[in-house]
Amino acid sequence: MTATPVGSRTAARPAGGGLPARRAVIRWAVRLFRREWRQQLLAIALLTVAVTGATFGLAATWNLAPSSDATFGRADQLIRIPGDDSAALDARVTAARGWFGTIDVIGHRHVPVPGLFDPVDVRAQDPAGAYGGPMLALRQGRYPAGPAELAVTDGVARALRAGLGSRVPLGDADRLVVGVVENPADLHDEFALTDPAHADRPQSVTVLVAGDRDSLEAFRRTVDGPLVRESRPLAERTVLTVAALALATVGLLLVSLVAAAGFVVVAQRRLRQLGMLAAMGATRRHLRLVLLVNGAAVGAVATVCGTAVGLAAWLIAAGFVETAAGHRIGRFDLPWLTIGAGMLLAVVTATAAAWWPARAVARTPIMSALSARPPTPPAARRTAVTTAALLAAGLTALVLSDGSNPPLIIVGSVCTVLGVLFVGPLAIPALAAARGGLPVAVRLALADLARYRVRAGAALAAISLAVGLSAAVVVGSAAAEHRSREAAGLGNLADSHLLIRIGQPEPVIPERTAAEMDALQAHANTIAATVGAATVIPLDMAVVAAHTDPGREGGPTGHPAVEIGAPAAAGESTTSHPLYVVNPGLLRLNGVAGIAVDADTDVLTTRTGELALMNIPARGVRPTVRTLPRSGYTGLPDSLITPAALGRHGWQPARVGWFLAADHPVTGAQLAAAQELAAAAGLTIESRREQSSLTALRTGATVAGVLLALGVLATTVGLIRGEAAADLRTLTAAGAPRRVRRTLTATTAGALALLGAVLGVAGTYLALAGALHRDLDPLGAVPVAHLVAIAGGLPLVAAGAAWLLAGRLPATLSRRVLD
Amino acid sequence: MSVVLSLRQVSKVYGVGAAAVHALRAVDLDVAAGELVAVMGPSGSGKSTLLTIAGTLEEPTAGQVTVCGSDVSTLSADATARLRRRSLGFVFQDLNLLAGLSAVENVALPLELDGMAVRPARAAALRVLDELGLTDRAGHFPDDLSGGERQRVAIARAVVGDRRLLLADEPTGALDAANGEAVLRMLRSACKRGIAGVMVTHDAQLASWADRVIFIRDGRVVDQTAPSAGPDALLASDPPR
Repeated sequence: MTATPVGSRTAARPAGGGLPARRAVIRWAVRLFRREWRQQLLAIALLTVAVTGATFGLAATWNLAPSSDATFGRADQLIRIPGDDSAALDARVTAARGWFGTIDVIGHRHVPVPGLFDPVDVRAQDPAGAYGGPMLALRQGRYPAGPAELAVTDGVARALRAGLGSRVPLGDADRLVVGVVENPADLHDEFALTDPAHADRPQSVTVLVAGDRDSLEAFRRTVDGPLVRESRPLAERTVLTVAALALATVGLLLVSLVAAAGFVVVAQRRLRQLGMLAAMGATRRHLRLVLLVNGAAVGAVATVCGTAVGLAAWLIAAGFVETAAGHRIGRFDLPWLTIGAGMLLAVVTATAAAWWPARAVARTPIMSALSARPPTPPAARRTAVTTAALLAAGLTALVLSDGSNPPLIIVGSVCTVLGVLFVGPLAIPALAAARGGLPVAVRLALADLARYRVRAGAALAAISLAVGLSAAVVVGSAAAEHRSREAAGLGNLADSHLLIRIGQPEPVIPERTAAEMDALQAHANTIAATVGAATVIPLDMAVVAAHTDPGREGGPTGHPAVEIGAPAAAGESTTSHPLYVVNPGLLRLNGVAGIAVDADTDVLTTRTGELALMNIPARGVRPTVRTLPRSGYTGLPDSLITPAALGRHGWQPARVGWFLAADHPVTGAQLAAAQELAAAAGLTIESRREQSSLTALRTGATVAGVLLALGVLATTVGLIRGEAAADLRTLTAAGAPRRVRRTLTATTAGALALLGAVLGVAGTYLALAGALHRDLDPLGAVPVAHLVAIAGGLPLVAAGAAWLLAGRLPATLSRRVLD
Repeated sequence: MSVVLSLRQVSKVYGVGAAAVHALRAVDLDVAAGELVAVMGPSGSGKSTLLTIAGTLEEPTAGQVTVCGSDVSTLSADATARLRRRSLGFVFQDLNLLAGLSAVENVALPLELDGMAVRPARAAALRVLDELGLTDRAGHFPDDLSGGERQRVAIARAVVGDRRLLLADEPTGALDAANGEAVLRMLRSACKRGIAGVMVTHDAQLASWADRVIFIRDGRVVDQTAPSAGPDALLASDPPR
């Protein structure tokens, strides 16, 4: 053998090996990943799902957001000019053209059509207009080109029962439908399009212009009188997409935490080879690089697969999204930069997830690595002190936050979560210590957990985190639901109740003739018969007949209706409630039938506190109140004014509606029929509103948490049992049956799952109790079924699955695999 | 000849208190360039610990280790790693090659870790493999090599470049007699060109290939001797076919 002529150049090489060393390490890491990617399938799958969700979510959010193109087209600003003074209209349009140069003018006429409630918006718009292009698209036929031609949206076509080639009566003339059009940016925008050159005089005009807001304001100063103007809003879709990216980031971080447990497994599997690399002279930096490259490779593969699947899913689902969004969607009009950022984020989070295992492996003594000895766990006392400090800091921050200080809540939550995660390595030996008296296989499994508790602790932390997040959603949603139900009572009305109102519920009651009231009463009776209502209680309100108020939001003029409420301090808004005139039916409805009301009592109400009469000319009128028992329903007429009070103030009763009570729940069909009758008669109906339930959210969170935890178990239990293969070999040689093998694996999985479930749920309650310490009532609403599914179901499923899968004799039992 | 490895009063204790195990007790050892030293002793006597301390894989509890003139205790972690990849070569009993890298890539790896570009590193590795008669196995992966071939590739990796100290822990423990002898022949040959070698073995016949044999018991060097026939006499015999 001769000396190789390389020594002379040794001194010139970089001390740490430089680029060639990194390249060699990366090459080896990539080769290892190619050899062993199947062992990391779970981490790849989880990250792929997360990236798929992120890609699809970003694409959908970007396209679901309403586009201001629907009203602005390509313009930056718009001006609305009324057409009631045609000379002024022409002058303003001319002035706008002179000021802005290029403008796009769209005329509007709202033409009533027999049989339709809403008039049709007949729009005079040039399809080749400078800015209106994105607001108009031809679906069929052609654009109108003459005075008797028209194009319609499909909604208008349906309403007019018209199709291409048919003639429709619109205004004072029949017109030929020559095309079907739409506003691609708003498919709910229904209109009829006419040729602007032959259009009738518009009732109003929209002028689309380019330029900034200052230019528009400068123009406004040149115009006499009011000028309605709007600026294109900020790009809402961008804000929503960034929010979606933030959400995706949280999802990726959570998945990465689970992936980190998988990377711990990979690091352990490669420990001997990494020890060999270190023996060859690799630095700690090189050792870390091996696992970081592995993390990046997992992230890259998951990113490519996830993005491809997400885009494919988007292409398939885009049609449905288009319908839901109500505007046309360009299939490839996607936030590519944001999607790219999401892809990069996935690779970065996967790489970051590999950082901790990489750091731990790089610090492992070479001889420990070469012998693949389990890492020495940190001293229990040190862990206990750290745990106690983190929990104390976390709970203190949460208590100080009072549930309303975000920075303290974040700090408190993070410290508490870390504290609970640190409990794991302490809990494992404690569980193992209690194994005395159990069957040998169970004892051995628990002892192995304690022996490999650094690795088991990482798995337990990931399981606790998955369960904790799931439990936080489950317990938090139950508490929120409890609170909202407490506020909402039993709901607005019982399912056998209907509240009929004349017109909209407004504090201004118009005067009606006796004939009108008779007709309305007849309609109310018909509705009562339709739903089989056994009780019809008339509802009158007290009105101040001496005063007349304009109706709200264009409603008819009438007399103010007296209301009751708590007077508010300056700057605060007041909540008031309708006040109905006492009648025997209302007393019965409020559970006080036949009571004697004192002559000096003004009001009977379930409301408490400092009350005043409102919506009256005088201020601060405090009524004499008699308190009624609460029914639990928020929509019942439960504030009543006595006839004596009416007499004292000189107010008059005015009929505002009827309360119907059936002796059975009102069916959907009855309700629909009643609503149809009410709409025809100008009445409105209030029925029971379903109270929202978060059960579906809780179930979803439970399933997701359990699946994540099972995923972690799938990656770690095999490793822990693999480490103890020598024990298994001895047991098998000693004649232990297959049942022992199954019990070992099932106990390992079940114990980890049980500890993870207990720690996760306990940590959640600890954190929530800290944050809600002033009012712990909501935590009393325990979502028992979901918590049992987590705390009981997870260990059972984990142990059962492990039992079933552990029947096969592992290959390592008969021969050792090449490292 | 210059001393490549020097151990002075080296002790190693594992554990503390009642659980303390004295693996090495005040061991002194010098290995000169071109010398092959065999370390023998019963199981648990401290042979492997001696090797790992000499190879800077572990630190001694007490004493001084000097490799190629450098006092190991004064070196940083990175400097120790540099010393390992530039001056030391290891051959273990079973785990030797990195899966995922071909034979030539395994041999070239220490050179690349030391900053040599791929092409010259590969060329140097191929030269060593050629000298060991493994040219036709250069592109094969460890999974495709026999046990003997793996050990010979491991030796190639241990001597490639400018190595001055070769440490072998039971290098023939997993091999049959013929392959074992071939491996020993290579080790002997490497030492003849100036590399200092330390080999741990149980086998007295294999130890007879060494220039010097050290006997360790309970962590102490209890005896040193040179084989009567001498290594050159063994080298004169025909290589195994």
